[in-house]
Amino acid sequence: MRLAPAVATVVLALGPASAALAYQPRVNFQLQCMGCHHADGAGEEGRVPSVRRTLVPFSALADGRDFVMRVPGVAQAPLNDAEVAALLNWMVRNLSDVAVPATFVDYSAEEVGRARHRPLAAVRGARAALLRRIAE
Amino acid sequence: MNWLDRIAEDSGRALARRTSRRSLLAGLGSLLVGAAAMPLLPVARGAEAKAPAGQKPAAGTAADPGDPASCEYWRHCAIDGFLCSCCGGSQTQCPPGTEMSAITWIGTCHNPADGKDYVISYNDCCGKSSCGRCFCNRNERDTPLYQPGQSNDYNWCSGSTQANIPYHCSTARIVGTAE
Repeated sequence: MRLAPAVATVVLALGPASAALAYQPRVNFQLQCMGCHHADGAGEEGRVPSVRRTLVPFSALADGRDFVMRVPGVAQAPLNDAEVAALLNWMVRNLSDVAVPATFVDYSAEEVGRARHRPLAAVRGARAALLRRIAE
Repeated sequence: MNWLDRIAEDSGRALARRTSRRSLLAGLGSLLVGAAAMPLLPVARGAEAKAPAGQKPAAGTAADPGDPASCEYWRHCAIDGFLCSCCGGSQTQCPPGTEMSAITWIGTCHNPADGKDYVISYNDCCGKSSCGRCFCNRNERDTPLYQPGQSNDYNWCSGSTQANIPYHCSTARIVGTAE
């Protein structure tokens, strides 16, 4: 039974996301995001930021994409990198007041995997800086 | 038995002297009308709505089986709190005098009727002190406090329009099917 610990380690490493059923991005949004960001992504003034006017402009900037993939709700979601990428791409196309430009590049699993493991401590400061940049 | 006759006659005559013949009708009439009007008063209705065990807000249907006032009801697979169905509301409506928090926690439950998983939103009703009836604590897919997005241990009333108003009870609203 020397194999048992190895199997257990592999299962633990895969984590809850792989063990859970794979859901469509819309359902993952409902399960992981909607409780606070609301069904339309508008959030609550002063408590939960809206994604409706920021996600698309942020996604056009390298720093903005980095921020989106590292905010606590995204980085720590119990989803694997591919699911997070699909979720973000769904949000871009379904929850934005800003038109999605033809130049929009889809988030990829690899990109998410690289970014989400670097903690983003000063979330509010990073967001404020990005908001100033997209306002220019 | 003369003394008994005398008492009866005396009291009968005294009553006749004191009251008019129509007063009986008037008194009886107001009693009848008053009794009929009683359940329409808000106090009485409130008391009825709060009636605990035995009062089922909505009977189970084929597509939505079970008793919404029971912890075993399928939508309650991840609930932690008092059932609004036992507190004058329902599984989708807050009781009068409370406000539904827009920020909430969300899970999935298996509906035995169609065999599908549904996304369930456990919106808290806030603004009155704890209901205290039908406490349920089922924790399917509940996460610890340090993963707040899917933890049912939080007081989600912090998401109501007035922050930090008291928690009263929890609803279990269907968001959609989980597929």
